[in-house]
Amino acid sequence: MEGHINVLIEVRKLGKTFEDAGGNTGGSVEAIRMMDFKVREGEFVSIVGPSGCGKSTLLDIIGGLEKPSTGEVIVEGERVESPHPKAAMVFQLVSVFPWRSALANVEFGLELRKVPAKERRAKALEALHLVGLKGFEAKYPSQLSGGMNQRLAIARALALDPDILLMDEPFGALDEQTRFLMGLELLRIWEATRKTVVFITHSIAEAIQLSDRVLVMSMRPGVIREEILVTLPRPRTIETLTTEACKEIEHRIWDILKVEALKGLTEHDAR
Amino acid sequence: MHAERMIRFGRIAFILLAVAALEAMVRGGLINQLVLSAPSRIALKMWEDVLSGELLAHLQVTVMEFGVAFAIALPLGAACGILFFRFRLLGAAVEPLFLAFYAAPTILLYPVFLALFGLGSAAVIGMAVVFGTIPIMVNVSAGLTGVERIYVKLGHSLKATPGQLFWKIMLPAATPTIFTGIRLGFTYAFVGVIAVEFLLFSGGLGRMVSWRYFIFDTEGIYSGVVLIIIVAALANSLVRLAEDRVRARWT
Repeated sequence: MEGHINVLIEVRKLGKTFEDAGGNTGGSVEAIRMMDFKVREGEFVSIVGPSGCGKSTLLDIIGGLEKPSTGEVIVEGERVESPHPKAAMVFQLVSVFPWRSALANVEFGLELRKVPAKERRAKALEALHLVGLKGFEAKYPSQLSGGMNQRLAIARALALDPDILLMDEPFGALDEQTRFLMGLELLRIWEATRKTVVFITHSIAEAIQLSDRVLVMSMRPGVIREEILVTLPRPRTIETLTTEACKEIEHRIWDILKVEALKGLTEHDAR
Repeated sequence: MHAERMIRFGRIAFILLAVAALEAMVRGGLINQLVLSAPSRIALKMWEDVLSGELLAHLQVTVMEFGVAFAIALPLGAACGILFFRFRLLGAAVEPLFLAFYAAPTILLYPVFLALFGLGSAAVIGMAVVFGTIPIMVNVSAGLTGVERIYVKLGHSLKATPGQLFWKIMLPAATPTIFTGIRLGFTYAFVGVIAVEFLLFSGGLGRMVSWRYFIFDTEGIYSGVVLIIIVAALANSLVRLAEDRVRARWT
């Protein structure tokens, strides 16, 4: 289980402090502290935590968008200094470009990498089909629903053929039903491609629905409070997600999060 | 659809009614012919202006002056806007001064331009450049500053080069706002051209009207004014058409 060969992402003693965070806090803010975990190849790992616990900061560091203050992140044996070409990010906010058609949006990353037009088109079409947007190639984001736009963002990431998907609450802005369906879609895509996924969410249900493993984070400064294995069988359906086993996992995560979320609330009140 | 047709019909009816009322009042002697000519006689004069080539001669001067002014204002405004965006402190310090332009009667600066450029077309162009540059500059800067941060973050995660970041993300994302600036700059530059022409003797549509004003040619004044409005409205609707197409794509 701990075989080092197939460990794809290794987070070592990671800490991040934002100096002079500005605003009314004045001084520096310690976002995360001494984080240690590993993600194996093909694994689906979720990170849940209360709002403002530094989840997104953690993902930004893994994605090479932020520099850590202490420690390091190793991806495929190399220390992350800048965005890794084999890791693609998907964000919560709508990040598809309204001025590009669906197809042109998916081609964007390949375009930046100067992939020849023909190859670019072929890969983009493949990715669009994979996320279930066949027939929507010429549509613009304004003509698509919120869920479809997030599929588009996922297709854009997949078109780069990454080994790792770093997803920062990709379905956070969607309504609950769409979110659940998008979760099933993501699982289908994941099962077809077997990418390694690090998935940030504040939804416990979503984390359980999707993951092999859930890392529960504490309130700021974020540390990993507990690691929970989701032993539910795959493929996951509405049935597996309503079993007693599932409920039990949900309770365990809730118990940890409750304490942390309350800390967050009192901290807000004290300010 | 039905409501839209009603609105359009109402608008035309209003214009026709207003014109008819003016016609009646002038003919009935309620309004002095020196103050306002009958619309029918203004229309006749307009037709004459078109046929005689007088309109064309002045229009050529105006279009030339406007064309040169706008050709300078567009890249100048864009460059300043990019500069203000790139150097935020400079922008923060200087931009409010330019924003005051909207509130201040900038046209009163025209003697400065006469002193700088003489009494000819150069002064007209100089003033119109100022009029046209400022809205473009302000909107280019605002457009670039207002680009969604998530787009930039995405660009960084894809390792976009500074050039790719600008041309493929920043510029297209800012395009709707920039287009508003271009439309405003276009309108203001045109107003600037006409206004300074009116004050000088170097020709152009503004001069055509001011001359007629000078010789008490009332019909001529109104003919000129209406023709200017028509030219401006046509030009403006062309720019608006382009802007609408851009906006339709972007939002």
